[in-house]
Amino acid sequence: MQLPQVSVPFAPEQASTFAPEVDALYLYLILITLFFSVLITSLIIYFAIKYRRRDPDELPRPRAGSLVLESLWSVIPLLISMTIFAWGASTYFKLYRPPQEAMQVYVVGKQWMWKFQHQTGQREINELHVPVGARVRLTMTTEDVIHSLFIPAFRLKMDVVPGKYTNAWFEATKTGTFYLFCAEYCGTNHSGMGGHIVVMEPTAYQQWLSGGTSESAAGQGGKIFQERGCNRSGIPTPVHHADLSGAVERGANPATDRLSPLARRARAGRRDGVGDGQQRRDDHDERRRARHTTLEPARADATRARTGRRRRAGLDFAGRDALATHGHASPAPVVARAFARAAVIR
Amino acid sequence: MSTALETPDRRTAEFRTRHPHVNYLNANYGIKSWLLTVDHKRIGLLYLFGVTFFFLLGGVYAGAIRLELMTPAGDLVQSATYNKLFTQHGILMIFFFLIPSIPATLGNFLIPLMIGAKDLAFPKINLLSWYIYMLGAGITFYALLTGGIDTGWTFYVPYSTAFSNTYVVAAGLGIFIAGFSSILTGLNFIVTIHTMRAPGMTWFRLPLFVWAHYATSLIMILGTPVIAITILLVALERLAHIGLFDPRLGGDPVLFQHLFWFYSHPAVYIMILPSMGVISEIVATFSRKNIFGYTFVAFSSIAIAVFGFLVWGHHMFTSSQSVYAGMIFSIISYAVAIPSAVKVFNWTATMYKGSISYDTPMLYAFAFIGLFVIGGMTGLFLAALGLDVHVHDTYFVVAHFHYVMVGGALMGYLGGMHYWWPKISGRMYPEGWARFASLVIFVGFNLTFFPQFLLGYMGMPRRYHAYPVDAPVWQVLHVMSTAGASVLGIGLLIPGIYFIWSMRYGRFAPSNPWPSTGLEWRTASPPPTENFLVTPVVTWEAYEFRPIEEMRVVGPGDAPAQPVDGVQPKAITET
Ligand code: HEM
Ligand SMILES: [Cu+2]
Ligand SMILES: [Cu+2]
Repeated sequence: MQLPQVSVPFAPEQASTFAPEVDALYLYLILITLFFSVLITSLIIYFAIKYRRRDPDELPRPRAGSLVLESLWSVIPLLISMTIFAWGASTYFKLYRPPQEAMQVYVVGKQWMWKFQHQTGQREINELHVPVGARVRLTMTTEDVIHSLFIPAFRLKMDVVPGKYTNAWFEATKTGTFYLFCAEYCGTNHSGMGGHIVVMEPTAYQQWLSGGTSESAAGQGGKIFQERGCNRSGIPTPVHHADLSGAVERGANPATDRLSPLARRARAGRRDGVGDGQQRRDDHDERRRARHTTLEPARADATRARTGRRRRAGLDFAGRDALATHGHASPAPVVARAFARAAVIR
Repeated sequence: MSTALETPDRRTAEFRTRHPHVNYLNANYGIKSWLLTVDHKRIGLLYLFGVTFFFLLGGVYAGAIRLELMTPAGDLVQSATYNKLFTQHGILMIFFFLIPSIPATLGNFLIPLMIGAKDLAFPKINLLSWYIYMLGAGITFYALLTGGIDTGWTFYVPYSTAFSNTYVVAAGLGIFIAGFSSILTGLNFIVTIHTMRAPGMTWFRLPLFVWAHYATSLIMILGTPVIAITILLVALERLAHIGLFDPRLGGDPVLFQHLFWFYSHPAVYIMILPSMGVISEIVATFSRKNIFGYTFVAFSSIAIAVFGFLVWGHHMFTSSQSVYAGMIFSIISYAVAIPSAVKVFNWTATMYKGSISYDTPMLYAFAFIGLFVIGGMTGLFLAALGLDVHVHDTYFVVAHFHYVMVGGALMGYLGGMHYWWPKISGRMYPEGWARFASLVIFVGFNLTFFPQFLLGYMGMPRRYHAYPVDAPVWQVLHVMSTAGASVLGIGLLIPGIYFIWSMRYGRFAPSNPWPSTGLEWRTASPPPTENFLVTPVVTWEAYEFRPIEEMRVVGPGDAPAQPVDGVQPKAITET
């Protein structure tokens, strides 16, 4: 169905293929709501004035009900609501049925940041660069609690759930920088768990991928992730995108990255010790949490050993590791990883 | 039902001449006579005391939330504190105010009166339910004071089971305990409505308030055990890591959401159905008409109670639940909206060719209908799958449920309090002030919550301590909302003041001030402890308005009505 392009006031920009469709549905609902609320309100006001009590003793004639009216005002709203249902359901199917042909991005939520990894290995935190006009498929999980990736300009939202992978996809239709939020309450710094999504021209995106300076990456590359606590503005505005140097050093490029999982693991292994900013920060984070551990030492040790091994293999990006190794079949490594994280927090 | 009071037989003429106005309030005095009372009317007032306290406390939290959101930066309180504020606001308002509000106060007070009974079926269980409520509320209150809780009123796992460092188990324990008071109240109502109706009070002569409470009670006794077990499982998971919800232990976090909403969606109808019952009474009385489509309105309550159990998954459209399950929950959500729409149409039709007065309760009924239409219609937005993906967990949802819970449930509660205040206290409230306050509340309410629809669609997530600085419109809308909240807060204080004032200085209320048709108006204001001195026999249909002179003389119930001007009242028949 070809929908007329609508734009509604008080709406975020329309920057994905879903946005006009969701807005059109929204407008449809607004019109229905206007119709019914104006109808009911004006009837009430009209009756209240027309039939106001003029004499304290007046007694209007009682009325019997009307089966015809009752049926009309049950069936008509039901029919209207079925059209809403059908439209809503068809949009929903599009939103949550990722196409086969799509650029893959892995997403991992953790308290309180979003980690993204491109198919080519580049990683980012709280910022995601994508090309305009390309289908992007998000495969997502979390290291700790439930979060929800929310991009208002794309009208897209999907929870990330511990112990499983969730999917979403979009096709951006407009270049620019748009908000990215965590929509599912996830603890102290929930409102700081956000950033931006940067939609770029494909060429600029390629440049960005290969570590070149695109206008957006140039200003922000290498900035250290700011914890919300020290960011007065509320939302981490100049969102850091991950220190790309590590990825670049590793020689990530689309060609080599289409290695088999095993080969990739091996390559990552060879790169043992290269490290990058993110990994250092992760480690720091891990240590910080470990200090608060209440686990018995053995369990904590095992936990550290497990993450340690993973680190040494350069596979600190759990979601990617798991996916590369097991496809969608088994989320086990992520779970182990999430366990390691969560266990020390308690 | 015998009361525990050692009082002489009040029916004797001799007693009545010596104590002209003996009623449930002055029958005896002293704190013990209240704390050990088994009179449903006094227990209703005990509940009123409890829910009002928690409403005020919840309101204080709300005020702090609104102040924080005036500026984009999280500068008034810390994030951790903010998270406690909205969690505690939600827990108090939902579990300790809205759920018990109308059923346990007005329902308790009125159901026996409306069906012509002396009390509920189990007066002592009724008192027990108040103690259970106070115990549960006390425990939660203690948890809030000593440490607080920050999980959101929804307790989503694994945050609540493995990550939050706050008093989840203690606060949960209070809710768990208070749940039993809900179950007992529901049980009491159902048994009472089945077995204690006065002669002639057939099912289809019951006031719609009673039907609504019957439906509410069904939800209470069927739904509350589910939240009880869910909270218990959260506590076990948290304390003993039993592995139900935690994937690391083989559990499933989404399972929790199913369990939680299986209760909590029906629970929203626990909040709104009684309010709808109040509106039916008010609209009939102040239009002087029988409710149009009585049976449809009565059965729509039952339909809501039944279908309400089948739509819980509409809270989980983005949770990774299967898209097919999502479709089923969506379509049933539309089905459950229809009975609500039917009620609205019937109330409107009742006003047609009525005799409409603008007394305060009716003003609240107008407000209820208008706001509930918006609240209910925005429910349709949220049940539209593809649209909910965008607005889920944003301020749009916050605005939706405040329109139904404050614009709907609270307006109904306030309307009901005004409507029955003469019966409860024996005094009239000051009408001018009351109309003024209802206007302030209406304006304040809309100013508070309408901007939140816009904020939500623009993408402002809920439960956010801070929001982007580079979105100036967001701040404008938040400031409007905070301004509205101040107006609303003041508006809500006014009735609190004049109700208390009227208990001493208000004009004495006649037994049937409006006048109205229900049995509760055919006994004295305030009623005697045993409600009716003679068992009423019902010979009229629900909302059957008789000539006004006749209506004015049908009460009070402590003396058989005298014929006036040759009109023989049929209301009360001596048995
Ligand atoms: C008339 C039909 C109604 C429909 C179709 C409806 C639909 C919905 C839907 C789909 C949601 C989930 C939104 C989301 O989280 O994305 C929702 C949330 C909610 N609704 Fe309604 N609703 C209706 C009436 C009511 C009523 C009468 C009440 C209460 C008196 C109510 C209270 C709530 C609450 C409290 C929430 C939010 C729960 C939370 O996430 O904290 N709704 N409603
Ligand atoms: Cu979050
Ligand atoms: Cu619901």
